[in-house]
Formats: sequence, C-alpha cells, structure tokens
Amino acid sequence: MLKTQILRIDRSTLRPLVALVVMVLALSLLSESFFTSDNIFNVMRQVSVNLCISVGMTLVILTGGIDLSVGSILALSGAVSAGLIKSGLQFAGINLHVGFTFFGVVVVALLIGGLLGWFNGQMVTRFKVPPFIATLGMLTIARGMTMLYTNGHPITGLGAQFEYLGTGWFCGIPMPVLVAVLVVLLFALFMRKAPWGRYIYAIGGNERASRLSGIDVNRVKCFVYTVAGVLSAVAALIVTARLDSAQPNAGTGYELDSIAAVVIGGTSLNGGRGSVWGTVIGALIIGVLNNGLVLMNVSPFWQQVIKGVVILLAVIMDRMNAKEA
Amino acid sequence: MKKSLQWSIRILILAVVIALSIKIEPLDQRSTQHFDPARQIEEFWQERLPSLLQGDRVLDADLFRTELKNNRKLLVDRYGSTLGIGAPYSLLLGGEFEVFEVGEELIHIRTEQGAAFDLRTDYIFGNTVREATASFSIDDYENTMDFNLVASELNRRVLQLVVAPVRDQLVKGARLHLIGAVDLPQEGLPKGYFELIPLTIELR
Repeated sequence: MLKTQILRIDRSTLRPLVALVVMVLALSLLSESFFTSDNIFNVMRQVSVNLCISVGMTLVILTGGIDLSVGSILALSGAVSAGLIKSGLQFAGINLHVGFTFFGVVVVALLIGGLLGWFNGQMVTRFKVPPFIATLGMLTIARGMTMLYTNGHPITGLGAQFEYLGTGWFCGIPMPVLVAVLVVLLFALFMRKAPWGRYIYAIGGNERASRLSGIDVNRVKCFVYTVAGVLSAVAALIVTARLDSAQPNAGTGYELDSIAAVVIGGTSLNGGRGSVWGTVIGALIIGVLNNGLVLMNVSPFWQQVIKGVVILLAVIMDRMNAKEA
Repeated sequence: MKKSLQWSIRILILAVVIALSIKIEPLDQRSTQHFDPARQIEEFWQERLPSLLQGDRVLDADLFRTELKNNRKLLVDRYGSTLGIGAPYSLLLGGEFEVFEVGEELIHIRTEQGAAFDLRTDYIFGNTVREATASFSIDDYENTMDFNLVASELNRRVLQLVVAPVRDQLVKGARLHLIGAVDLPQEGLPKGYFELIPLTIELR
C-alpha cells in the first residue's frame, strides 16, 4: 500500500518519463560507453546533488514560488561545515577550542540551510517580497557570506568521514545516490500522505481558496522555503564530500539546473501541479543529457544550447498541458 | 506534568545532539599543532624577502615588456612561477616609475621607456605575491587552506607595511622605485594594463 502511494505517477509525469526512456535508448545505441554500470553510477552520482536541491525546489514551485538562492545556500553551508570540521571554533579569551564531529557539522550545515530558507520564507510571507526578489537577495547575501568566511579560498582536507559520504558505497550503492534516494522517498511520501503535502498543492492551485478553507498559508510557505534550504545543505554536504573541499564558488548556477529539472519533470511554474517523481525524471533527463553529450564529444557550447532548447520545450509542453486542463 | 515531561525529553535530545556534535578542549593544547601563517611569514618577510628582491629573480619592467613580445617562453621559464595548469605565471618586476594617474584602488605608473602598469594599492587578493616569490610549495603544507593562508598573510602585509606608509605620497608626477609582483596569463594578455602588486616602494 505504502509502496503504491509513493510510486504513484500522474499523467504530467508520463511524458518526461517517455522522453527519458527514449533518450536512454538512443544514447545506448549511439555510444557504447553509455549503458555500462560504471557510467550509470557516474550519472546517478552527478544527478544526486541536483536531485536533492530539486526536490526542495519542487515544493517551492508547487506553492507558486521560486527559490534562486539554493546554490548560494549550498556554498555557505558547505563552507561552514568544512571550516568547522577543519578548524572548529576558537575562543582565545577563555582558552577554549570547540571541535566539531562529522555528526556535528552535518547538524550545523542543516541548521544553516534551514535558517536561510526560513529567512526567505519570512521575506516572502511576512514582508510580502516577491519570491524572485527575496531569494535573489539571499543569493547575493549567502554568496558574499561564503566569500567572507572562506576569504575566497577553498577549504580542503576534510577527513575520512566526509570522504566516505562523497566516494563511499553502502550495500552496492554510492553514498551520494543513497542520500538522494532517501530524500526523494521521504518527500514523495510526504507529498502523498502528509496533510501539509496536500496543503502545498492546494496553495499553488488557489492560494485564496486555501486561506479561506483554513490553511495557514504563510506557515506552509515558510516551511517549503525552509525545506528548500535544508535540502540545499544536504546537497552541500554531498558536494563538499565528493570534492573533499568546500569551494567558495560552489553551487553557482545550480538554481537554474534545479528549476530546469522541476520544469522538465512536469511541475507547473504557476504552482499546484507536479510531483517529486516528475522532478526525479527531470533531473535524470538533465543528467543523462549532460552525460550523453559529453560521451558523443559534443562541444560544451552546443551542450548549453541543447539544454536550453530542452527546457524551453518543457515549458511549452507545460503551457499546452495547462490549456488542455 | 505532561508538559514538563515533553520539555525534559526535548532538553535530553538537545543535550545528546550537542554531546555527539562537539569536542571541547583547552586552546593552548591545540596551538602547538595549529598552523600560524603570521609567524611563518614574519620570518620570510624579515629574512628571505629582502635578499630575494635584490637577487636575479627580479626582472626589469622595460625588459618584461620587450621580452613579452619577443621571447615569452624564455621569460616565463626564467622568471615565472605558476601553480599549475590554467593558473597564470607570476613574476617579480622592478624599475623606476612615474605616477600618471591616481585612482582609489589602482595607480597608473609608467617607466621612462613607456612600460605602463596599474599599481594595485587596495583590495589585494589572490596568490600573485606568494607565487611570484617562488618561495612556497604546496607540498610543504598539510592542506591547501594553510597554503592559502600564506597568500592572505602576504597580501595583508603588502597593504599594511608596503602601501599604507606611502599611500598619501603616491600623487601624480611622483617618481618611485618599486619592485612588485605581476600575473602573466598562460596565453594572451590581460584586457587592460598589467596589475602590479608592490613589495617595496621607494619614493625618489
């Protein structure tokens, strides 16, 4: 029962799923290296970061909002977690050094992500700043804070536990993929089963009606931005672990990749329609497309053009869907 | 009763999370292992840098401009230092200059023979100074963060000890002898003038 609830795929997800299957088949025929276990794991590892961010972005877009700050939140969470595990906190006045365990930096990273996301939520709900502007502001603030914290330099050499998160395997699955799968399952279930999951759809469908029916719209909206921040921090931990370093410019442009994954996956930019599973397919399409184009030696400039065209096609299909509905 | 139990459980969870998250120890027990860039650079700045700036690693600024056109490879092989693939070559340049224009962060200077540079006097970032001295290797450091701290400390000293004492005297028409660090891209040339980060400035 639970399994069917989680895996239920709606009609808007079907088209991208077909597109993904066609792409995989075509690339398997065009490149011998594509459909190999090594390459499949490689694609999944690459997709895992975008997937974590995109799940949060799905929730935000479902409410009719947008979050442009996810890449910068990723950078700041990653930098602070790397800095804390590396150097901890020093209080010279009282001769005290506070070191952080791996568990500790995970907690701190998630708290930072959540706090910045909550701040976005407050801007949108309490101060009625349009989501585009509120999160654009946070994009700049968080990036600036990352530069201040790192002094523009990468923080490297983070230890064995970080390394395991980035490059380790558990039960035959790469750790980044495992984390992304857990995130997806958790939120797919949440969106189907939890009342707040239904509220998110309701708010995106008709905010006024949701408010009149007793849903605390501001609270739910604030929650989705907080979740987007937390999931950016999860992605930050994966990125930092994979590179064994926190880069001050990490996450640049990730907001666009995640929006693309959500849109390609059939979630409406107007809110109220879409699913976490659609986003999974959208993220996989982007990952497979990137990987396939590299394997076929397509110029990086053309890769950008092709990705842009795919996103535009997805939006056009979304508009057509909306008209049909 | 029910509320106090809830709070007790919350506090207990919080205490467990904190206990699992942090390790507290006296700072002085760690300081022996902790990398101190200021101490290392103090020694470099006082003892090794002066002889380095008088040595044959410093290229004449006019020669730099002519050799750049005629024999770039020899120039970088002989005087350049680079972090690796894609990173610029950093060199030490010296010469007699005249100030032509004074900006907030950059001062435009030229030699008598017309080699023009922008002297950076604020917002000094990056690895140019560290690399130009060719005195530091990543292999000597535990991690790149420590290596980067060396660059930051050098940049800080340039601002405080080289630029700040003479900044007010760097006016249009001032003549100076200076040695500085410059970045040369692996290929091509910078869009504007080469930016020179001073290591010594002597007003004439």
